[in-house]
Amino acid sequence: MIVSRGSMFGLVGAMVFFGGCAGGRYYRMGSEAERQGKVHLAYENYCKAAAEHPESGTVVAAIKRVAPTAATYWESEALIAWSRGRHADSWRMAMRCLKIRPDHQGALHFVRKLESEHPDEIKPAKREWLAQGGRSLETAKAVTMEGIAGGAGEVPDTASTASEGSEALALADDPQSREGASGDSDQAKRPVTRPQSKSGSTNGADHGPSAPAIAQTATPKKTGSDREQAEDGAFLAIHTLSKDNKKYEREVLAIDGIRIRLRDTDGDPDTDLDLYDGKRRTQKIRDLKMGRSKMFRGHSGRWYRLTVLSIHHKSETVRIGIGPA
Amino acid sequence: MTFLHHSRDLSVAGGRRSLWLLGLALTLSATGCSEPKSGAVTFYCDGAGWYSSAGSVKAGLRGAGYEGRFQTFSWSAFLGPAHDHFVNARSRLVARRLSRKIEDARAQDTNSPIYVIGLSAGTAVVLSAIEQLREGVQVDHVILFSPSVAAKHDLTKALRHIRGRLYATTSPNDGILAALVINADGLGGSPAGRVGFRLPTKATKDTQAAYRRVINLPWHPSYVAFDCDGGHTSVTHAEYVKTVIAPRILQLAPHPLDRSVVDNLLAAGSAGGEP
Repeated sequence: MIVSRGSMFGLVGAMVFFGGCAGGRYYRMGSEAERQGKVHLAYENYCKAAAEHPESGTVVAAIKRVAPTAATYWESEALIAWSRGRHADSWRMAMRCLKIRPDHQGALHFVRKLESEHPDEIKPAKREWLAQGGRSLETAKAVTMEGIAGGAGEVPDTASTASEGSEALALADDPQSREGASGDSDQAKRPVTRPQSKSGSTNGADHGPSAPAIAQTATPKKTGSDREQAEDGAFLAIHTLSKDNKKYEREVLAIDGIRIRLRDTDGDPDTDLDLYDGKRRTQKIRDLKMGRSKMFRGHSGRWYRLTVLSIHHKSETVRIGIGPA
Repeated sequence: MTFLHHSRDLSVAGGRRSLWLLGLALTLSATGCSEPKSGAVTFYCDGAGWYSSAGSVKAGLRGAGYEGRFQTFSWSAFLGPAHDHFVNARSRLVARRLSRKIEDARAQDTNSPIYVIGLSAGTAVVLSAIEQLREGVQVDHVILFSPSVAAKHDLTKALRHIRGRLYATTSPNDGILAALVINADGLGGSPAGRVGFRLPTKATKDTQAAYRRVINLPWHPSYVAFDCDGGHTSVTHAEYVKTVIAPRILQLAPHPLDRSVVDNLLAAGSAGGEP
């Protein structure tokens, strides 16, 4: 059979048009989610694309690209849920992190710790997992950046309870880390506040608040306070900074005498931050992408690791976690 | 004269160097290579006619921090994959050689972990060898990569010789197992590498209890990030071994993501379970 070159090009064009390139529609959905900074959704869509096209180099590259950030996303969501007493949700999210990286030591340790310390709360979630597999993990309510950007109702601080204090992960329990978190700065003289949680949600019940909020002590601007600190294990503090969302400060006294100022965000998405020790700018961080970390030195000389947990470019809002180096 | 003197010096120096090298070689041959005699040990059986995956499996384990010995057990007749699959894989004599090696390793060190890993038809050798172990001899964990043994293969006898867990990777994308007519263990039915091991019908309580340590690891699309596309030998890639397999065997506690064959069976009774 003789086929003209024109017909052949037409046929190939039609195949590409209808079949989609690389991983098909899931790949396109993943790309779109990645462009919007919803990297966990991007990861899920890329995985669906890989199910259809496991041999596609484009899909494989996309999964390899977003997997570390998606794991970081679920890790931070797990810690946030934990800090609010939503232990079952926290377990599910840590399991999602493990599904992405089965060798994730932090998540492995965290899941086992949750299972040993809150067996009654975890048991139903675990039973669901054994019965339904990955599907059961999707029921966890994540705290999303959309919630932050959308001006969700402010969630009041609640004082930490003794039992919550004992729940801190090994890292947070480390006296050196604790000392480092306080350092010699004036922050050391302030009480270490727990991540904020909605009233009534600290009783360990597994029902997250309907209004999404961030798990950090986002002290209202009017108080002029810069005491935003989380003590949830991997991170000594979690802060939200924003240029456009008036609920959040653009600059915070982050830890150990170091102030962090948000310069801006980009659609990539990445963020630019400046670090100050007193009035002196000590570090410029540029184009730091979600899930990526940078080291910085506190006023006491101790080193810390700053990780971008999420970025909402539309409102120029970023959430950062600070942990020991 | 000066030239002669100089050349004699050189020959003396060369002779000394040769002697030194000879001494070093003798010392090495007397003491053996650097691999220790005790400590953790992994026995690996490659697939039929496929003799090149040991390197990447070893690299994956090493990458995850495994410092023990890694011994490739050669079970092939080197007459091609068909001969290996149909003859050597089900030879009790060949498997017995592996049993002896495992028994020796256990006798030398009663406490250190022993891992046994097989690929494809090599998994039939692994299972047969474990079944033939002397009473009381146990290995720690067993990994079966793309097992070409029957899904209905009764693992009860083998599990008596396994302290920890038995993992089997499965994949619907495994084209080689899809085309398989007879399994390497001689049994019919679907290969375990396609559908996973199944609890035997009329399983006793002991068998059910034993199968709580049998974990099928189905391929997941996210594994493409670890160079595993679900193909027959892709599970032996170093990154997959390091990320998915090593955390399951190098730690004492079961991995949180593990769901045993019995768990899956119970799940089938409730809402539709996802692997």
